[in-house]
This record gives sequence, structure tokens and C-alpha cells, in this order.
Amino acid sequence: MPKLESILIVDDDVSLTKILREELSSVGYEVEVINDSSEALNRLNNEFYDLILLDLKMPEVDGFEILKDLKSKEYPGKIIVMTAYADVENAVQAKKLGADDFLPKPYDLDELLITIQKVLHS
Amino acid sequence: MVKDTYKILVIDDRPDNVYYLQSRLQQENFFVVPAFSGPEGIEKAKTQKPDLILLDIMMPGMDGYEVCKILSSDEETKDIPIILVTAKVESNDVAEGLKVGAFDYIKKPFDKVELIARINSALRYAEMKKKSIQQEKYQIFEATVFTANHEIKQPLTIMSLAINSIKRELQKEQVNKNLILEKINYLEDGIKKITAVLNRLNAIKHPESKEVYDKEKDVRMISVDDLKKEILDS
Repeated sequence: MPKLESILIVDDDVSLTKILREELSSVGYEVEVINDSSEALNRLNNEFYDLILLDLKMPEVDGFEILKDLKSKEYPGKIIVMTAYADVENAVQAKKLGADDFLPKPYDLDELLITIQKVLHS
Repeated sequence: MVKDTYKILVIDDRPDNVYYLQSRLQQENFFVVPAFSGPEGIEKAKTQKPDLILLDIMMPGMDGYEVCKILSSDEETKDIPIILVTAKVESNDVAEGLKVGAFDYIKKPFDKVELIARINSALRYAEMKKKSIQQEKYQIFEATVFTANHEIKQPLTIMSLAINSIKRELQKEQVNKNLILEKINYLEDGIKKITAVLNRLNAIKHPESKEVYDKEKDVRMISVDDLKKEILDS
């Protein structure tokens, strides 16, 4: 049996990460969640995920800082940025900092899955 | 200056003074509204909404200070600049006038050039103040809308995923009611959060609009309790 593709969700909203984990697990991904963004930097030093779903607006360490950190260490996994503050400026900045795609909220599961598949298999 | 013609209310008990000012100001293309007593001046300030008020201090009955105090503290008239007209030259009188809310003062007899210069300066000040208040209102409005945008999109995402999860569960032969109820709680929570944001938006109004947004017209509550009951009963 092939190894499941791994996804790490970094978002401070507990309800969103819980339901995202359930939905993505149900379609066959191996999913982990981090709600405290300051923990993300440590975890990503030691762990590899095929994909990171990253919220931009978080209280401790925001998504841009995590992107900068991942870029500086040339993190090999893919990154999708999810944000409700979806404007061109944020999207361009996220792309410059190494995000593979940008998913504006609100999104539905189909949009999310299409974006994930596109990024993972591009 | 922004407008073609500015409306100036002249309050003075002496008709000769009023008519002199009226004639002088009309030459400069101002529109003059005359008032011959304090109470009449206050009433005209409210109904005519002048751009500026020239107010004589020495009037029988209600004097200029009292009129100035009333106009400066009234929500409808407080932003209209008042120039006090005084025959007195004591600095105490000027200080008293400025203390009760006057923008400036001018001494009688008038120097024509000075009179117009002071009027123009007060009008420019009032316009700048108005613009700055308007700009501040815009900034508050934009910030609130920006935050509300985020606070609505976040629960909408959760609600969309919850609906997907409910649909998936309903396709199974053995439906897990608890799982569905849990997802309905997400919907309920989302509705509460979005309603709270809309209620907050209801408290602000667009800086250019006189209409306060009426949430009752646009927001209809959905009863999640009924939906939950239906599922439990099924």
C-alpha cells in the first residue's frame, strides 16, 4: 500500500482545523494540526510534510513569518496559504515568500481538494 | 474655497449694523441671513444651517456669550464657526468669548479687509475640520468592514465544510446522528458569529449615507434547533 500523503494544517481556529482534519482524512490524507503558530516553527524544523495548509492571520507568529522561515531553510514540502484577507498584495507577497498557491476564504471542500491535488502533483 | 456662495448668519440687535454687514458681505458674494436677537439667531442657525455666524456680543436680553454657548454645545450647530463682533477692546471679553466656543472675534468699527479675511479664514478652518472628521469616519468604516469581512469568511468556510460532511454522512447506510449533530453545531456557531458581525456593522453607518443600516430588514434568523429536532426525530 502506498504511503499516504501528509498534510499539516496551521491555523489558530480550532473548529476549522478540526473539520478540515476530518474532511481531508476522509479522502485519504494523513493530517496533523497545529493551532498555536509558535509551535509550527519548531515542528517544521524536525518534521517533513508533503503539504502545509497555512493561515496568514494568526495571533502569535503570523503566516508570513512562517513562510519566511520555511523559505530560508529551503523546506522541500509544498505550501498553500489560506486567508480571509485575500487581496492581490497578500497573494503576491505569499508567492514571493515561497507559497505554491493561495486559497481565499471562504472555500468549499471541492475547491480545497482541487488546489491540494494541483499543488501536490504539479 | 469649496462652495460658490457661503451663507452667513448675522445676529445683531441693531438693524443698521445688520444692514451694513449685509451690504458689505453681499459685495463679496456671500448670502446673508439677518437675525435681530439672540433667540431669533439660535432659531435661524438651526433652520438655515449657515456656514458661519457673525454674532454681536452686546445685545439686550440674551447676550452674545450666551448665544455662543448655546450654539457651541448644540449638536446641530456646534460645527458652525462663530465670529464674535465686539465694540469692547478688553482682552478679558475676547477670552470669555473664545472660552464659550467662538472661533474668532472682530472689533467694531470694522476694517473691511480684515472682516473678509477673518471670515475666509474661519470658513477654511471649518472646511478643513469637516474634511478631517469625514476622513476619520471613513477610516473607522473601512477598518470595521475589513475586519467584518474576515470574521464572516472564517465561519462561512467552516459552515461550507460542515455541510459537505453532513452530505457525506447522509449517503452512508448507517448514518451517525451524533456526527451530524456535531456538524450542525458548527452551522449554529457560524450563524451566531456572522449575526454578531452584522449586528456590529449595524452600529456604524456609511460616512456619506444618512441612512442607518436596518438589520431587521435584511437578516432573517434560521432556526437550527428545529433542524436538530428533525434529525433526532428521524
